[in-house]
Amino acid sequence: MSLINNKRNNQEKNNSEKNDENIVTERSPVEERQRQRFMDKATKVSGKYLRRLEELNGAPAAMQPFFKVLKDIYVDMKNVEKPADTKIVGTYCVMVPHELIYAVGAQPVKLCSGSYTAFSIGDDLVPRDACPLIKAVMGFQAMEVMPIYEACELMVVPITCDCKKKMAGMLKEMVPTYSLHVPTSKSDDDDMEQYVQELYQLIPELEKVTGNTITYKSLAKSIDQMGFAQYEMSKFNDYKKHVPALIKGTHAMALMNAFSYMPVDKWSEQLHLLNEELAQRKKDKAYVSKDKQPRIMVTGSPIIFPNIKIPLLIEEMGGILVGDETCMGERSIYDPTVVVDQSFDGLMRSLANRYTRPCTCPTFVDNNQRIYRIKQMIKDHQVQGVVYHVLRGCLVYDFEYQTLEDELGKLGVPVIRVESDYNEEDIEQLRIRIEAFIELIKLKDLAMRPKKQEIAGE
Amino acid sequence: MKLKKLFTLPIIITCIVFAVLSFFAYNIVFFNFSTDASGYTMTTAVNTQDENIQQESIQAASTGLSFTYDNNQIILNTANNQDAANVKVYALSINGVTEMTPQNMAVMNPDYLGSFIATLPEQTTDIDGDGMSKTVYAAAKTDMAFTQGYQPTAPTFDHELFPLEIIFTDRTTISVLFNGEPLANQTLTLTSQRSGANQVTTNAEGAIEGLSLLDIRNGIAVTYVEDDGNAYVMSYQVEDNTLLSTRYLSALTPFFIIIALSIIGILLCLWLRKRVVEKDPVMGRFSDERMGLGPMGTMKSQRKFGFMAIRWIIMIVSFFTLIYGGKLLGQWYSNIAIPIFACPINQDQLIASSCYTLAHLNLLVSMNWQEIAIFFGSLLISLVVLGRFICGFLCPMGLIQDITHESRQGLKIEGLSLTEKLYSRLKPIKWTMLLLFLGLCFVGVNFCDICPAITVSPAFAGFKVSVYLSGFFMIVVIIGSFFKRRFFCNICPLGYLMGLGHKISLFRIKKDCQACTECGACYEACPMGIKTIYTEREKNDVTTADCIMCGECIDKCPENKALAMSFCGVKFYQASRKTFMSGHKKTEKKLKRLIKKRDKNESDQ
Ligand code: SF4
Ligand code: SF4
Ligand code: SF4
Ligand code: SF4
Repeated sequence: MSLINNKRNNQEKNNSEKNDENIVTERSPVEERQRQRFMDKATKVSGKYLRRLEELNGAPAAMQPFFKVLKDIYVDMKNVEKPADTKIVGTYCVMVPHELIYAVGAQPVKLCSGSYTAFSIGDDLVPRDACPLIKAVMGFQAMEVMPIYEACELMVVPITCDCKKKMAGMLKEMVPTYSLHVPTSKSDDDDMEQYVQELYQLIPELEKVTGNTITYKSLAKSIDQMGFAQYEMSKFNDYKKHVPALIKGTHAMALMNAFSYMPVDKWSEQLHLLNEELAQRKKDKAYVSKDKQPRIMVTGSPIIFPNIKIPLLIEEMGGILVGDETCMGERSIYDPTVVVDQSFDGLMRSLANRYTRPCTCPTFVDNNQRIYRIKQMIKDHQVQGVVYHVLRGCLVYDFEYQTLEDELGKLGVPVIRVESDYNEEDIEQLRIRIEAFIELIKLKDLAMRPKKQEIAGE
Repeated sequence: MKLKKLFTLPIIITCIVFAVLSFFAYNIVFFNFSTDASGYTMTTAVNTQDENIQQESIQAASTGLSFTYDNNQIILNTANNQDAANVKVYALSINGVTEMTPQNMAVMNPDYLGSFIATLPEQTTDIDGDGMSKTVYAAAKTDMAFTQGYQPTAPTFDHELFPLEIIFTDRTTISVLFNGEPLANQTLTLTSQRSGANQVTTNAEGAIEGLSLLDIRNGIAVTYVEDDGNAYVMSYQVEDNTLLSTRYLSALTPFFIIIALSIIGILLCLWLRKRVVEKDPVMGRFSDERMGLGPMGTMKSQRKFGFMAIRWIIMIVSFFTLIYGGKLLGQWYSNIAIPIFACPINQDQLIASSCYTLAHLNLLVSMNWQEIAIFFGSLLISLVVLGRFICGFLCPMGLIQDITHESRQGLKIEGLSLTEKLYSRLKPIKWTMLLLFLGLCFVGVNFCDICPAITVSPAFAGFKVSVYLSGFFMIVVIIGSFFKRRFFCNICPLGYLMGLGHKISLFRIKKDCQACTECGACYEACPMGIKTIYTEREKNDVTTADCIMCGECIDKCPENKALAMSFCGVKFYQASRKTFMSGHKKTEKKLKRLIKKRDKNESDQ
């Protein structure tokens, strides 16, 4: 806890002695060394995974800018690339409307973290059973080394699971934090109405950050911008449905991770180029997978760079990752904002709607829709096996495993639950399990094939 | 929560108020057109030169006696001075039949009911050119415009005045009376200014059916030659307002008053709301933005042309064909009555609406079984074939409400969003309306007196129909539909009646429950607040009694094939992400151009 206290002191000092910055940043040599060690380690791990990501063959050339963003943030420890004097607003989960943040002229950055190094620091700050994501976030926050955390003017934390809730409380001690109350269930209209009110209340907080007020115009513009990103995303999604695959799923995940740290315009522009490249690949029949490669989908707890060991393992072991139903992945941007009413309130309602109703986050009381969503993705992407990822300590996702297993059992789609933590100790065990899973699918496919041919032959 | 409790009371009150008011509907007059002849004058004219022409083209009816209209002047045309001196004119008045004198021809008595008859003493001529002279009795009859429509029975004269009488019963039907009895199964000569002379046969009720409305409007004459050689000729002219004349526009007066009052009402509501919102600690700051007063912008990526545009085109076309079809085509398919709130009190409407008969169920007893069978038959057929597709695509009331909604969208003014609970609370109103709709006629009044639709279709066609409570109700409907889309449709008795039979309708809304992400966009978009469309996870048919087949849900659904509209099982409109997002294509093109330009610049350097 000492680190937090330290930080709090710093902040207090920060407030009282604004003029004298030198005093604030002064640290003891021990601390300084600790920080340096931390940074070295963090960049090393990130660099390693980035390399593996780049080495995974089949990366389209248009992926490079996305890799570069990840490199900038995690290896070079840079801030988000943004126009000067744009303020940064940190967000967590997927329920914070980025549109609102863009509308006040700030830049949203998703701060959910996957860093192993920060995790090990955070391990001492939060209870042992808390999920690694929280530990990593708290670790970064305490070390004060990541520019994206340090430059944040405001953090918006949706109150989703218990860990996020307590995290919001801890963050509040260190940085300006706003807790956004997300309804616990979505089926009742009142919940939605309540969320609309929540968003209205969020606006003044955001406006304080930049001093700009939200107007109809700025909001409409940011909805258009996000809409365009979603448009490119849905095109990308269509390419992802192609059999054999046009792009590796791990790369697609990297792309989604990069979304967290890029201005949306930039991101959609790059995605547009990527889409064009994929279109070309489709024309040239330049596939990244073979016909018989098992098509696998990941769902469950978020997979955040650099914690991409699972997708990497799947694709390194000969599977092809075609679907991604995690909140760091597709879910964060998949559902479009459907503006039904053109008034300002209509825009707000459509945002509230878009960020809660279709969201398959398991923190909602009734979340059957996730099963349907997964089933639909299995159909769309012709998935042959599902990897259910559970971060150790992430209870909400674990809760939903059972129902999903039953449902997929009915469909005859094999599913495997893999639990992991933010470290590399479990890699071997994961490798064995995933390998076995992929073999199982291959065998199953082999057994099915003659039957399929028979059917086709008839 | 409190808000919702609060709403129960107004709903109960609304039901009661409706019920009470509808009993006094006749006494609460919103706008009354004068239904007497005051302001009119009558003159007699001699048209000698016309006679020859008529003689050639029309063999019968050469008596030359007829009425014509020139604004507020009724002209009695006679063939020669002698006729002009001998002609006797009678008016139908409150106190029976009165003879017209030169004085009251110049200043008409307010007693007059708007029907006039002119008779000539018997003449002996060879009217049909067969070389034999006959005794000819000639007469002319006219009805003023206001006699049509709102009176259930057409005005009739006493047969003492003239034995033969033509009664304009329906748009394409005239009845012929002789000595006060229907002239059944007789061959007559029907002469029309427009299409010449024809031999026609009356049916068992003494009616000539299947005439063209345009013929009747242009003046007709009926010649009946009795067995003993006496011939009776009666010409008939009905006052007609030509489109866009000032007289025609004056029929729109109540409609314009309603619009003006509605606008005032809307402004008042907005002002009130602004005052309330300004006090709110959170919302106060947004009061301008929510009024649409802030600097406006547009959602550039909104799709411009799609299924909804097609729906708008169909709605507008349907509005005009329904209302002006009869006037322009001269046809009126009175046999078919579709359940639509296009008011058939507009005598020129292309087809009738079942609502008239449904609101006057007590009249069923006076109809013969064929008419009843046709009525119910066409009702059933429209229910099966069209169902509430009528509401989404054809109904003029629907169009009016969509226009008010669109104008709010254009002004970016915040509307009212009802929640599921409020919608469910509308049910009592729906049933009250249905009860009033079907039941009022049995207690001496009828739904037409409160029906808001009466202010639309007749007025647009130029019929001066007095509006009773309907006018007030229409104001409520317009204000309501400004803030809440399809406000009236949510309580429309006719639509609900059709909705109750939706199970046998061929238009359906289909859902692929697996593809649906429960994003709720369809629910937000649905003007009828149908929630099952988004929560449904089992059935693939999500049509409900309330669904008006407007297709908004499908239009707004971003998931491929999640929703579809089908007819006879053929899905003709499906949700698709591609079409949903097609508004962004423009941005993409712009981006492409930008990238090209940048690449060029880079290679230049
Ligand atoms: S007033 Fe209304 S119910 Fe009566 S006929 Fe006209 S539209 Fe139908
Ligand atoms: S529900 Fe609406 S559209 Fe349908 S008949 Fe009634 S008024 Fe017309
Ligand atoms: S709009 Fe489509 S995807 Fe969304 S809830 Fe409705 S049916 Fe489901
Ligand atoms: S369910 Fe769909 S088609 Fe039916 S009324 Fe609602 S939006 Fe219109």
